[in-house]
Amino acid sequence: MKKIIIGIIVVTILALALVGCGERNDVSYSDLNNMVDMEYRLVNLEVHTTMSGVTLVNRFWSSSASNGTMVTYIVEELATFDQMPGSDDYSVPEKMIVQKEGSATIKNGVIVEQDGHAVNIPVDSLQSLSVEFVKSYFTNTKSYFDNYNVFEADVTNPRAFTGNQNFDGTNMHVTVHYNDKLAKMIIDYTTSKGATVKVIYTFG
Amino acid sequence: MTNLKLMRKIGIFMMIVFAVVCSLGCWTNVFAPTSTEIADAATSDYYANLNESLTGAAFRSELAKLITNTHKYNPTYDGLRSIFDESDADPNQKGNILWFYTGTSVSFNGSFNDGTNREHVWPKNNGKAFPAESEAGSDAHHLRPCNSQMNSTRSNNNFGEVSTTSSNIVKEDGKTSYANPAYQQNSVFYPGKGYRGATARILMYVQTRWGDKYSLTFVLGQGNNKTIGDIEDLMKWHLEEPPTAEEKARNEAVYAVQGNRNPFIDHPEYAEMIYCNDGKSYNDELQNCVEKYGSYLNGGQGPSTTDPTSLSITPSSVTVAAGATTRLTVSALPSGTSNSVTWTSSNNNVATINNGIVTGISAGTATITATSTKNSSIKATATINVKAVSAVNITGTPIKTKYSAGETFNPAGLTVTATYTDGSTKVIANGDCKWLDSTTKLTTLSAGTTSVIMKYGNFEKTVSGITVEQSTTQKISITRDSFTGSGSYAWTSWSSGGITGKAFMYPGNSDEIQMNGNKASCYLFSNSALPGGIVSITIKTTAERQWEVRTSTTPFAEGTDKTTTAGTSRGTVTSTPSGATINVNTTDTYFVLNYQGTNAVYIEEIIIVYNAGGGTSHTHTPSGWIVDSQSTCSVKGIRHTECTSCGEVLDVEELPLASHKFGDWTTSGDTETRTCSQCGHVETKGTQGGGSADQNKVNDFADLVDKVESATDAKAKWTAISNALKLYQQLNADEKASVATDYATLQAEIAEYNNTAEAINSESKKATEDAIMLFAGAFSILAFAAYFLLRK
Repeated sequence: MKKIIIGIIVVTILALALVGCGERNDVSYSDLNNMVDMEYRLVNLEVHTTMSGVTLVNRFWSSSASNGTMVTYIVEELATFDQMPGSDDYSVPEKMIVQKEGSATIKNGVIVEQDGHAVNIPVDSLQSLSVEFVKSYFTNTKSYFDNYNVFEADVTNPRAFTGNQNFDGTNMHVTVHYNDKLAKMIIDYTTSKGATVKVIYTFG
Repeated sequence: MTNLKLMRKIGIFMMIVFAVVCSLGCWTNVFAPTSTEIADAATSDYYANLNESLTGAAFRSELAKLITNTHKYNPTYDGLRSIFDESDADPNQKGNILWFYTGTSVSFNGSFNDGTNREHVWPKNNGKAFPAESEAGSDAHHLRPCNSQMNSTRSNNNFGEVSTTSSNIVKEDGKTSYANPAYQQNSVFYPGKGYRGATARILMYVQTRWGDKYSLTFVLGQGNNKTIGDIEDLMKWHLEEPPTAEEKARNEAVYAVQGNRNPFIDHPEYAEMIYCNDGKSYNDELQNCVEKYGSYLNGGQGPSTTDPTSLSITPSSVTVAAGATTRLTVSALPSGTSNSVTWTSSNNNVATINNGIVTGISAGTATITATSTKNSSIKATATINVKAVSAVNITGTPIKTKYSAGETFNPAGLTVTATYTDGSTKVIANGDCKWLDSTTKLTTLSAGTTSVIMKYGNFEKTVSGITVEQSTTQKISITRDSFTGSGSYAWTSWSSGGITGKAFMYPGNSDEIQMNGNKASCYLFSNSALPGGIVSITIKTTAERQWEVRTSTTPFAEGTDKTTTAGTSRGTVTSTPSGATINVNTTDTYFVLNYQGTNAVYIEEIIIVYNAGGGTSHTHTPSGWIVDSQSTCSVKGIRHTECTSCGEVLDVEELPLASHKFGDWTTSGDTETRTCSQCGHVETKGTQGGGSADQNKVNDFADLVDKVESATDAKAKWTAISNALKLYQQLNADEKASVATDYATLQAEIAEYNNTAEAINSESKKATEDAIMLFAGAFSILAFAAYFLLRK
């Protein structure tokens, strides 16, 4: 369940391979793999989830700190009307959408400083990234230049790309901005419950 | 030096230190009092030389000297581990201590790396308030053992009451299911039951013991570094939760080490003696708190949490003219019990009652009854005499006579006296009269008007001698739409009406101007001139928040500090959803709003009124407040500000009434009465019956529930539910009974909304978890943090 979308990178690489010659932004799969493997000093993430006319946005920013890497986050949730103990009355939230803010400084996979909402982070390390490319996963590919080299594609088989047979997203579309390294990657899809999701990675 | 070599050197050093210390005997008892002194501590001897006839700052000064001079030994930060072993031991489980804020019992072996650490109840804030690990930072009366996660979550947050919902429970050791939860919401921390009073008494100790050296003070609302709030909630907790046996035993244990005591545990009455009378802005609120929840003075035990045993109405007898209104106030006894009542009139043809407001209808006498909603057998009555008015006379001179168009008339300085057809007279409170522009008949004054009409009941009187000039002011409105920008918290520019400035805000919020007191900076300023000078600033926020307003003749600029000290302070203002205004009246053309809180603030609108420039030949220089008359318990005092150059009155306001000084209740038959020794006002209490609902409110509630049912999206549903619940909370018992069916419908809608909200939250969480796992290898830091940040 939790192992997710490693193969999204496949979208970028494979689609670029499908673009063909004659476009100024042609790049080989190996060049793209190299871009993915680069060390990026800053990675910002935004996840926009829209459902029933409401959009929640979760934002994460990373930056260098003197004692590690600081991740600052603002996570949004819908407030609920909670019944007061011993009463048939309800508390009225101040706002419809509440934000949980905080930051964590991480060094060697351990939180060394934390502020705001508590974080529970395990010390386990994660596996290295490994991908396979399958061109039949993509359709409607486009390549063009718009301040950056841009690649777009519809993903016809998200489960196969993600390598996660439990992934329930459909109508997936990916857009990658790059030059000599990745600048931005946007992934849109629809969940099985009808929510639309837009994920934006910004690399620095 | 390698880590191993360093550890060896440290180990050898510690062994030497340990040997030296052991040779001196048990170091924790080097300066301890003798057993005789311990035995005397809880008696009057420790406090024998205090002058308890003093109050306020004078008494605090005496108390501070006592607990400072007897503070012979202050533990080291590291030494607290051995003190906690005894002072915070679980009496029911050897080897365990009790975590502060919750009372959870845990094993403790002296280690502060095993789930327990040292909680500075008054936040040290990295040493900005006081030294982090010495003096106040290691005082055993101050620091308490606490779960590390709880400590981290509470951080530097202030104390106060928040909603005790499951989503607000603070995790302790990774769990929310522990027995006595603490809560946190919007950076306000609410300890578990039984630890709230203890928290208050620790903070009072810190303020008394260390407040002079480190300038530590209490505030209403939120504080920062050297200030902490909310003192009103803290006093309430101190009154609601008297010192426990656990606190008293701990006081003895720490006294045995340090030589001084926490006086607020031995003498809880000292809190109100000091903090209700020390000349600070919170005195009135704390006095009201003591009156409501029960005083410890004169052997009082504090508040009762039981239902009321009696009610009383003030005034118990009142005369009102036909067509006029007056307000009744109900009080419950014992203090601290509910004064929620339903109001009824014995004769609606003579006088009606609505939420305590009496309206005279026609001449006659009616009895107004207040019935407790907690116990319908508990009632109180007041007699309303409705009289026909034969004449109304106005004497005196209004203090403020010059106005700008759009202002309302201020009657301070005038006395309105009604003469009734039976020959009696009565001075009418200015608030019971209406004051209207004599030309437009509106409450706002129009340019050129020279008089106002006073209306009382069916009578009118004209007051002349005022001037109303064309407004020479302009205004700008700053809202979220005034800003451009995106991303995280940063200095972001705003523009409105040709005026520009910046604020350290979160552009990601598209609805309000979001700032946060826990960010590097939390102020909003202008950097282009408001020509002619600034008149007033109004701030509307979604919840009450405190601001300091400053102005200058030169532009403000962004900085790296939380707030700016540039320019001149014009005072503080507490913003509200309806808007709070501070009258500045300065020739300065630039302003800054320094946010005083430590949590998030959502600004709906900021309105700046400024002189257009060239409209008047003179710009006023306001004085400070000048008291014209002090309040008594029956007559409100008056104060005003004026221009120090031309003397024109700029602002006038009434002062709150002073409290009655009642004697004891005396019983006569079925009636009890007590009399104010200052003004002779008499209160009575008795019984009679009745109950009714306001049909307008019932209908309004039904309409609101209809809107809930017809709302088609989540936002509309949320808004409709909020409005319906807010009205429901204002209904009396009869009204609630009348809307029971609609309320059941509302409850069903709430359940459905909550399910939808949970589903949306779940989808958002899952999408984020899926997203952050993408770069688990290459970007592991972000993935680590982000993935588990959402684990709750």
